[in-house]
Amino acid sequence: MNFLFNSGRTVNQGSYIDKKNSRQYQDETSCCRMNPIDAFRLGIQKENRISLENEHGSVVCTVCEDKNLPEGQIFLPLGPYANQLIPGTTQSTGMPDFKSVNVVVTLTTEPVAEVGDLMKACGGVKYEG
Amino acid sequence: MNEILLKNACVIDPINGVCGELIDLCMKDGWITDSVSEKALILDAQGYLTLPGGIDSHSHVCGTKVNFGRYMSPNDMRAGREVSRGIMHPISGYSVPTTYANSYRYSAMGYTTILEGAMAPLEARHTHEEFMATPLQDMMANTLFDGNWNIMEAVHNKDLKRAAAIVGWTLSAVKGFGIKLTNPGGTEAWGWGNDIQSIHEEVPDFGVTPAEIITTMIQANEMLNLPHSVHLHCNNLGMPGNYATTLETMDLAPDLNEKRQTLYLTHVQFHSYGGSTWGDMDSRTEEISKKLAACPHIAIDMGQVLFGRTTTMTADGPMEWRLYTLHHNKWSNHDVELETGSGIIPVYYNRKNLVNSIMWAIGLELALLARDPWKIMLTTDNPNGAPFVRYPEIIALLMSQKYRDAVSHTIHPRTEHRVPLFALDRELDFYEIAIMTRAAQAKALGILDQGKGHLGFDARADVAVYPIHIDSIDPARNYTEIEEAFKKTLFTIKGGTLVTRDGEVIVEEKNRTFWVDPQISEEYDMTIDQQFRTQFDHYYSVRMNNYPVSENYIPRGVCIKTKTPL
Amino acid sequence: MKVEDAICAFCGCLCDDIVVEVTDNQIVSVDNACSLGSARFLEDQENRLKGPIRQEGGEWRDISYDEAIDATVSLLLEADRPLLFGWSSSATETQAAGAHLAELIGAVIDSTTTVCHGPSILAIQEVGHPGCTLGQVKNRAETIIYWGCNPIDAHPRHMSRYSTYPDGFFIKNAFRDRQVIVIDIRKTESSDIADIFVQIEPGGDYAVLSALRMIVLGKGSLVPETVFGVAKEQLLHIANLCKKTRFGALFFGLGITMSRGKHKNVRNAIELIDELNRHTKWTITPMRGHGNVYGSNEAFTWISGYPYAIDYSRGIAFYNPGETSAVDILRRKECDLCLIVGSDPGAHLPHICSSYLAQIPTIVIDPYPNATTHLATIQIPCAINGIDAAGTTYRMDGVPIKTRKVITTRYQCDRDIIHTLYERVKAVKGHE
Repeated sequence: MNFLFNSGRTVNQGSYIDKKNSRQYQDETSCCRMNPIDAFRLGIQKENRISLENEHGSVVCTVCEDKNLPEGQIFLPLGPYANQLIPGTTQSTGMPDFKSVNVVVTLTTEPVAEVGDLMKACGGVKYEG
Repeated sequence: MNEILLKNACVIDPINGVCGELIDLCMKDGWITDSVSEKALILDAQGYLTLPGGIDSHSHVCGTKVNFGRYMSPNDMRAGREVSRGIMHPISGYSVPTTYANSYRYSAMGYTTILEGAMAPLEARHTHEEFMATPLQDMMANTLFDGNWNIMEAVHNKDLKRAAAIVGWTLSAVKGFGIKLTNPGGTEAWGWGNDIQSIHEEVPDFGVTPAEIITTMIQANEMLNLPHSVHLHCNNLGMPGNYATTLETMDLAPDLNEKRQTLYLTHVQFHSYGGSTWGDMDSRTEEISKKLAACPHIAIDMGQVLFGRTTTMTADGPMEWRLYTLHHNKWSNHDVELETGSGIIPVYYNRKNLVNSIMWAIGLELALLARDPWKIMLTTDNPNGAPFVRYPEIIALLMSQKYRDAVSHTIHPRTEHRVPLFALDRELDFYEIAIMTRAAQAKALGILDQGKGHLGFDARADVAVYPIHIDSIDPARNYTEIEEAFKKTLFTIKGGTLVTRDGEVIVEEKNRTFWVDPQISEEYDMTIDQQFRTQFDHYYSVRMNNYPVSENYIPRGVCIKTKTPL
Repeated sequence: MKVEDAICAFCGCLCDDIVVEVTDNQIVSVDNACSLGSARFLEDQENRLKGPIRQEGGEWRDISYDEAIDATVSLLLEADRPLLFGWSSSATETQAAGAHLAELIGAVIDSTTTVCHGPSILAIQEVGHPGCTLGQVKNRAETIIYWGCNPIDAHPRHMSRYSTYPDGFFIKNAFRDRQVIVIDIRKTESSDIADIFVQIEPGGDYAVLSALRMIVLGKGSLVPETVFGVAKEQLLHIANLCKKTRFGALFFGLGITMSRGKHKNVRNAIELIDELNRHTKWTITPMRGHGNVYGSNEAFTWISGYPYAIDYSRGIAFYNPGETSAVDILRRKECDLCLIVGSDPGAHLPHICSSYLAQIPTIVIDPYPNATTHLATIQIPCAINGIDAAGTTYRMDGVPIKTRKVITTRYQCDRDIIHTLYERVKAVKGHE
């Protein structure tokens, strides 16, 4: 299913901002908000995960229902999960297209990656300290 | 032990009555002295004109609105950019240069002291951060009180001592130097998008008039024994017919100080207009100058406009809005809670435009009509009238009627019907120019005691050597050479250190900041005044404990403590 | 020991009324802070990196500060096109030091402005900024508009300290005398408490702003019946409110700067405010995110002339966002070293940038392990502005406040680290 993808700040994401490798930060920033009707259409159950994919990348997220979101739109808090889907082009403004990017959402059984593993997939070396 | 022997200096030092004497100047540890050892650095002034370091008594170079002007104008930054050379940082900016650019360019012109034209107390920290990055000039800040709620309340209650106590507390807290009033009352009215049209019009909600604010502040200033007088940007700046406001304002000032003026009016060019519309506007410098001559207790600076591009920036928010409605250029505004306002807009002074041509003439007239050069200081209200790097052009114009005539052919042809400039054949001489660019400022700002503005013993070793032989040049004819010579010194010495040679900065310097600390007893100390503290708590958006600027912002502060009856 | 009037430097609100209780050099409680600020103070110590770390050949090891500095100096000297990024959590003293370091090594220096309110600055550079300090809003504003931002989540105390809730000199009863309008593409906690909520379809901000401008200009007849989901009646109502209010303040956020149109959206908003100023008094303020991101713009400007994205490689200060901005430089794989101070591009930049950071020497100066740590070569922990270091910090409205140090730790302030790097690099370059 196609969705318009949006990302932004949430107070929870902000409160864990100095603990990016924590479980709480991961849970908050990998939780995709979706309208309940869209969730129903996709056949999403509570513990399901979804894969968000577009030409820039893909990421696995959990789902939480948010009736305040219009149908056809999804939202992820600002963070490394959201940024897997954002292109590096800026239309010569310096500012990437963080909002209003399109993604395809499908159900998946893949696990949600830890922040360190996301970075490892980018070519980094996970720091466990 | 830092010593310099400057030989063959043709000194003009108006404070000490020296006019073109060939002297060997001795400097040691930052001060003029009578002799130096053989270890002294020997510099040859080659018989060139040697003056005390230049002092700018009104220039917008550091602080919130100046920086606003910079970052909103990348085009201006590009226009003035220079690559880094030697120890100099890369610099940017034409009409609103970066702090290092300002410092280098002022130094190349021989200036060693600058009074920042306007500092809002709430944002003083920013001004001081930028002062520290303007290393080749000693700095001081005019502190804005024009829209100050606590002051207006005290004025309304006719409580002069309280008004003085508030000023004293604020200046000490934010490390300011003097009282600045910009469109008094008008900046508060601008908080609602309005302005004040007359000095007797009441400021809405505060029940005081600009006249009352001005007179109370003058009394407070003298009560606090501040080195400088009240520094006033009159109401109605830039409005046709505003000369009447200026004359009325001048009538308000009593004569309360023997050593210097009691009232300093700034950029009076912008306040000398007759007529009632842009269509019939004309110059009223004759009336202004006549009044000035009759008021020995008032001093002014020119605020000269020069043709070309620049950026206007002032605490006079409503005036900048009017310019926006006129020019439709990019306009910024920044009102400061409980205190003042500001606005910024780029402008272009066009020699084909009649109004601009009149403005150009007015500034020059003020200088040429003034009988006493000690009371008319050379400024452009940098950058409002023109960037300060163009001061040499003004000097050359004042020294040469031929130059003025040459320019008159290029400006609007009807200008001569509106202004008396072309009937004035007076040509200022080097002595008068020296007065108008440093000696008068030192006196007006009250910093003679700090050794500024002269080259006698106990003077600060701030020296500027201009490549002119005054006996072999006729400024009236060779105005181009005069203009060139004042652009770049052979040597600029600041605090006894050679900082600039041929316009190139050769050392990383560290400047000083002058600030005042009026001595006030507990009875009048706002720190413990319940009413003041409560007002602060309710209406400011910062905590009173976080408002004062700590002394680490003025690592080399020169604190001027003043005795007060409070 | 109670430290009163401490400053929280987390977000652009820069609340300076925080009360921090310190016992035995530990923060034990915090009053007045929001959940973001409380977390910043209370959960600080448990998260700090104990000392510098270095990644070599796929392995991480702890190293000494000396080794970290030595290695960083060598890398800086070797780099042909270094990028110095971040800065938004550091005090201006540090930011200024960073600018001078960039001058010295001909680097590009950029702050998180570039992915936040960079477009706002681009707009200001086109049409100016009619603004004010936050106390003006508190004391005078009758109408507050929050456009494309969600202050309850991102600036939790904004409404209670500066806008919606506090009484002011002219506003004796904020609850009765103020109205709040929230304009956004989705419902949020902020829209829930608004008097009026206008929901715009995504990408519609520019058109709605244009429609409002038309109405204010008296050309409402040209506006269609709906504009990106907003009914014309509602637009007429809003425009009328804006013209009639005694003082209005518009606050806007990433909803406008990041969506299609970017700086043109902001420009349109500024021009609407300009137009409204012909009728009454209006100001516009960007909701700056980081505690001292505005400070980076201020410091970079008074030194270089430009607020962010400055390229010193030519020996001049050169500014061209889109070319000299961090995301573009990283996307183009143009830099060969990245020094990151107090920021987390791994978390906040598009992943193509993160991937490139992993390929080049990346040095992070940051107190906490974060997403970028996994991409880094070296990380050096430092003290934190407002906790164990004090410095000048600029609030979202430009008011500069000096933070207080509430505890003492063995961590160096990032300003001192940058100074050390500067002096060491300069010493080597001086001999060349």
